[in-house]
Amino acid sequence: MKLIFTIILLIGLGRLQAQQSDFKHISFDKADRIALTHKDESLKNLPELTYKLTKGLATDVEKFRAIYKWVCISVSNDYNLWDLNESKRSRFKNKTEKLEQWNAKIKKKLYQNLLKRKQTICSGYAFLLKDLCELAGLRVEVIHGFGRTAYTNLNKNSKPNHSWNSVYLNEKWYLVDATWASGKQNPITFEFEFDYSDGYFLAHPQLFKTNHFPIDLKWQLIGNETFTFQSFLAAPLFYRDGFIFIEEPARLHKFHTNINISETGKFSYKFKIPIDSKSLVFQLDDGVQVTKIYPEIDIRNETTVLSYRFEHTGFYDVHLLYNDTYLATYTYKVVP
Amino acid sequence: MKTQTRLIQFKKTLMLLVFGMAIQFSNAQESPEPSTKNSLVIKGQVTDSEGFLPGTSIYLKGSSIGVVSDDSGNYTFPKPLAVGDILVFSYLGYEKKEVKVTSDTLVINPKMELESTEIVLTALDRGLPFKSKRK
Repeated sequence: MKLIFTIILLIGLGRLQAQQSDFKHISFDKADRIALTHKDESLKNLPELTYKLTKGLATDVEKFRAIYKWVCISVSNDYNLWDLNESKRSRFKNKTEKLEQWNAKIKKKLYQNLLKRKQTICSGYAFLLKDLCELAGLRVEVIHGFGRTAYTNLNKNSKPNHSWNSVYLNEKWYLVDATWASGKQNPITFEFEFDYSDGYFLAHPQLFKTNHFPIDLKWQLIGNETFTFQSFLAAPLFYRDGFIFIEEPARLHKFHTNINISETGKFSYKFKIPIDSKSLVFQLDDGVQVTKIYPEIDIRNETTVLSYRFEHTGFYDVHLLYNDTYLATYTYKVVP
Repeated sequence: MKTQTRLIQFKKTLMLLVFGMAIQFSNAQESPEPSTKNSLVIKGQVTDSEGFLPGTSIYLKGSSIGVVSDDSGNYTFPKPLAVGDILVFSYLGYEKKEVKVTSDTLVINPKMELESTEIVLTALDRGLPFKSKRK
């Protein structure tokens, strides 16, 4: 009964929360086309750039879209600067003064690289987005906090490591992450590759909170609900493509679960678009071999429940894939 | 005759307009309003703690009319301004500065300051799925 109540509450909240589907009636084709046309513009003249990106767009959300998309498709992640910063930060971890000096130095370097080469790391994306949007008369905030990816080992002593933005549209605040939307690192060459993913555009706060933890909690945008740093660290790992397909987890499982072999593992989601359930698979990795399994699927109302019963004991990484795209990861310890 | 005068006047206005637009920032949104108050030509040099600051955007608040400071941080605002107009000086990573034009403003030399509170942050999406570390 309690569970049903929670689910109803969650779905109810979901309706109220600011997300991309609020703008279903607006097509972003024009804004996207404008962003693409001006892809190679430089950052030498920001007012002019903003003007070019927003001219002829009628609504604030379209203006914001054009600027956001432009930032995502024309500014690249600066991995060299990232590496340098990462090593200095760990070297000066316990030397506050040195760390401050370094921060002042890299701040300048960051903006220089951004202006000259259109390369940056997340602070740069977030500040550029804010500056451009303000020139267009839009309200945008830079939000600092913790970003959680498959390779960030966050713990309770970690320092903030990420920045993203919130934008005010039609009297509501929305969440976006231009850094993670713009591209990824090639796993072989380690070079940055542009590969825009739409999932972080006006993302659903219930999903966004699982990999973005703001220093100022009001930017979780989840109303009166409390979601602590501990819950954040214990949440499942959702990938950027997960944000494209999943509207919200109908029930938020934990990243790690201990399960008895006689029990069935259950996962429930609300998908954004009609999903071909045959294309939903779990990839199980027990450290030695990777297997693909097809979970049992039950769709009720708008909630899709996937269930699977493990055949052997052991420790598993469980990845949820849709047509070979990684959406989420969990770990399971299956005990006799 | 009357029509001809009108036509000449129209042509004059048109030329003025075109001329006005040409000396402006390449994409002025509004045509300049001819007014006797718009007579202040503002120039200056933008600096920060380490010297002059090239590439600063300078624009009239609430419009897209603007200019960018040159290699020595110098600028001349392309549109004569009126008393009460606000010039915004903006450079990525620096605090924005707004300066109101008064009747005796001729030169504005703003000193820009780096945004104070911000920390440089570094989370990367490596585009690879999670893999547990096993003993």
